[in-house]
Amino acid sequence: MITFTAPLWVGILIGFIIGAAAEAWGIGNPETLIRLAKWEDRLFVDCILLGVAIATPVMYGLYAAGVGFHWSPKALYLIGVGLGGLLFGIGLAISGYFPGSTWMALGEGRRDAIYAVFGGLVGAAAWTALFQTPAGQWLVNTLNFGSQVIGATHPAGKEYLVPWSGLTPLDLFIFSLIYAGVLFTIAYFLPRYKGGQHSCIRATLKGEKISDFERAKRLDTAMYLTYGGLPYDDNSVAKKLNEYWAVESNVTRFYMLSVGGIVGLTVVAEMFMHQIFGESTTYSWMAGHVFLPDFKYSQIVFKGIGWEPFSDIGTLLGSFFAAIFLTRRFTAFRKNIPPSWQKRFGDNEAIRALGAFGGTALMMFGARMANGCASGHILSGLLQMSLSGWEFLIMVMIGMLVTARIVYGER
Amino acid sequence: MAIIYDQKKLQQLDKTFKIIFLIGLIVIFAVAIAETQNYNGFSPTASQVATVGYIVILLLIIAAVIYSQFPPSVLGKPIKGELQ
Repeated sequence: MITFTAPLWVGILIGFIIGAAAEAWGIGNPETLIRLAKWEDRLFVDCILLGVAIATPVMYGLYAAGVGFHWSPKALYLIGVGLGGLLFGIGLAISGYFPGSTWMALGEGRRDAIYAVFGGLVGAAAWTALFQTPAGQWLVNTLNFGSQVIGATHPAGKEYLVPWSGLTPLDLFIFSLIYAGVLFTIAYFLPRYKGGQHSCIRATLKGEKISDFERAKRLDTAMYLTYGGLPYDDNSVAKKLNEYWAVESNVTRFYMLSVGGIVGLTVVAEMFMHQIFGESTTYSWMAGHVFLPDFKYSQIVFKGIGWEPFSDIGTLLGSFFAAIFLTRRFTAFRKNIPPSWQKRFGDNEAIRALGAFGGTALMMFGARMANGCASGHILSGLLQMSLSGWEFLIMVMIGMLVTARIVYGER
Repeated sequence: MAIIYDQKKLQQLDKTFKIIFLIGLIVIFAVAIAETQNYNGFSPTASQVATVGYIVILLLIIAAVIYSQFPPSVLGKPIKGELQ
C-alpha cells in the first residue's frame, strides 16, 4: 500500500486553500450561518454535499487501487455524539459560528470573531474539565460502537479499513459512487434560497430564467457579504465574486462546483499526507496549554492533535488573503453586526459580543463532547462515509433549526 | 482613525499592505519550514505554533490600522452616512 507522511508545515498550506475557498463562498460571515440556521440560505449544506460528492469516490477509488490514507472516522458513541451535536447546533444558531468559521471571520477582520474565539476557548476548557469525571466518561463510553464507516471498521491509528464481512475495497468504492450520487442529487434538487421557485435541476433542464425573487435574494446576500468591506472596481474579480458567483442560486454551476471540488479534494490530499481536516481540537489544545495542562483530556489532545494548529492558522491566513486580494470583504475590525442578529436584538455591540461569546462557547463544548465539528465530523466525516458524522449532522440540524426558530422567529 | 477619501492615497495604502502581506506570508512559511522540517513528532509543540501565530497576529493588526482609514463600503462603493 502506498503511504506518505508530510512535514507539519504543509498543514498551513492545506488550511490556506480551504480557508480561501470557504471565504470566497461567504462562510466566514456569521450572517451566512445564521441564515442557514433559519433555513433561508442552504449554501453551506450544498457546499458540503458537493464537496463530499466529488471527493468521496476519488478517495475510495484511490484506496481500492492501493493508496493508503490517514483515516480517522470519529468513534460512534451514540449519547455523547448526539448530545454534542445538539449543543453544537444550538450554539451555532446563536453565534453564527462554527470552529473553522471563527478563524475565517478573523481573517475577514470581523470584530465579533474575537469574542467568539474567547468563547470557543471557554467551551473547550469546560469539556476538558468534564471529560475526566464519571459524567464525561459515561458520555463517551456508553453505546460506543467504535469508528465505523459505511461498509467497514477503522482500526485506530491504521492507514487501512477492515471491510465488513464479505466486502472488499472495490465494494467500498462502488458504495462511494452510489453515496456520491445520492448527495449530488440532494444538492441538485434543493433550492439554495428559501422561497426559490425552482431547484437546480429544473433551472438547468428547462432553462428557466432567474425570478425577481431570487434576483432580490442574490442582491441581499451580496450586500451583507460586502457590508463594511473595502472598495472595488466594476471590472474587478471582487465584483464577479461578490455579486455573481458567490450568490449564485444554482449551486451546480461551474463556480460552486469548482470550489466544492477544491475543498473536497484538498481534504483527500490532507488525509493522504497526514490526517483528516479538523478545526475544533486546536481550541482544546490551546485551552490545555493555557489553563489546564495537567488534565487527562489535555494530555490526550497534546499527543494526538497532529498538524491541526497549523492548518487552523492556514485557514485564517487563506481567508485573510481572500478578503484582501479577492473578495475585498476585510472589515478592519469595525463594528459590524449581522443583519439577522440586529433585526432581533438591535445594534448594541455588548449584546452581540455576549451572543458571539456564549453561543460559540456552547457550540465548542458540544464539538469537543462529540469529538469533532463541522470540519472533523461533517466535512471529513461524511467524506469518509462515517456513521458518527451522519449522527452528528442530524443532531446539529435539529438543534440549529429549532433554536433559530425560537431565537430569530417572527414576532 | 480618520477616514481618507483621496483615491490615490487609498490605492497607495492598499498596495503597501498587499506587499506587506505577501512578505509576511513568505516569512510565515519560511519560519514554519525551519521549525518543523527536521522534527519527527506527529504533533507540533506550543512554541512552534506560537512563532508562526505571532506573525499572523501582527499582520492582522497592521491590516486593521491601514484599512480602518478606508471608507467602509457595500458592493464596493462607500456607504453614505455612518456605518450602522
